[in-house]
Amino acid sequence: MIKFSNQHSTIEEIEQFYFHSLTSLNYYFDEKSGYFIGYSRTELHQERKDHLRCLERMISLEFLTLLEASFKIDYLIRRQKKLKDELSKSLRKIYNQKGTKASLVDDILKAWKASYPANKPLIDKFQKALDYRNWLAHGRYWEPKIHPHLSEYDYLSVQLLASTILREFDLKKL
Amino acid sequence: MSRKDFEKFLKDNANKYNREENDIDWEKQKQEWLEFIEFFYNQVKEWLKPYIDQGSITISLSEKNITEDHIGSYIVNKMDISLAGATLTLDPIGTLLIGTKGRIDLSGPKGSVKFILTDINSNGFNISFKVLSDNEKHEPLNKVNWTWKIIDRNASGVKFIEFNESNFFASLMGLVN
Repeated sequence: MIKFSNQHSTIEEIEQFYFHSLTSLNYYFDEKSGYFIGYSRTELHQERKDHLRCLERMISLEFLTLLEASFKIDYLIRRQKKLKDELSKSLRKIYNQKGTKASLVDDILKAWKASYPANKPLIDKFQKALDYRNWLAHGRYWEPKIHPHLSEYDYLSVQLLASTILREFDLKKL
Repeated sequence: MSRKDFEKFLKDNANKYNREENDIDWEKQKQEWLEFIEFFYNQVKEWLKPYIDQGSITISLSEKNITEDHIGSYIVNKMDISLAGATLTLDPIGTLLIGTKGRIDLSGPKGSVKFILTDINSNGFNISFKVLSDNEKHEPLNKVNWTWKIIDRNASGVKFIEFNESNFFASLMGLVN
């Protein structure tokens, strides 16, 4: 049995963190700051851009792990509350076989697709985004040739995916 | 915002831009920068001369084109310094940079060292911010007595190190070893 930490983020917290960090970066990378003495404007803009890209990757990872946590929490809560709907029954069946070791993609998302076929396109998008999540989480050390779609993801696309899923799906919360 | 406001905004800012641009003699700025590069290279050559004469160091110059706003394109020399099995390059970056009259980078196998023109009395500063109101202006830089220094930038701020023979040799060694 898992003891919930209650330390998972909410989408609002992640968005607020991004907003404050972005604003801070924009203030920091300023020609008036003595730290950048000797920089050309191009170098300053490039360094700001590099830091912004780093921030956006961190935030994208945070969004995707939030989605992962949301589906896992939902999986455990549906079982705890013994809900009677079709999805809860499917998930409970998985829990009885695999417990907390159920796979997000092969078990939980598969059950969601079976119970809510209309949501399949969105779940497929999330599954593809999980390749991006793995690339980020494992240090981006390989060239994503086998997953060319990784280049499609940035802060906005991941934020949009996360907000749509959290709004459209009946994910049970703590 | 109305079209009228927008047109006023464009006009006001265009006039401001032109005023600032016209106040500066860009050709003079460029010539001064080229003289500072020349001074830098002469100083380096003087320090390296005994080793060049011995044959343990060789130097060579190659042309490089720099393009900067207002000034346009001009040619400067880069200097390759070969020593201890490695080649380091002195590379002038430009004169229209933030808070300085010019910068030359020395790059080698282990990284780079940056030389900038700064006020002779400046030793560096800690990171601080000041947001200027609309009526405030930056302090003018026209009374600066420019001199070459090595810039050491780290998380706590910026420090300027004297551009002298000892520190230049330390830079060379640090970029090779």
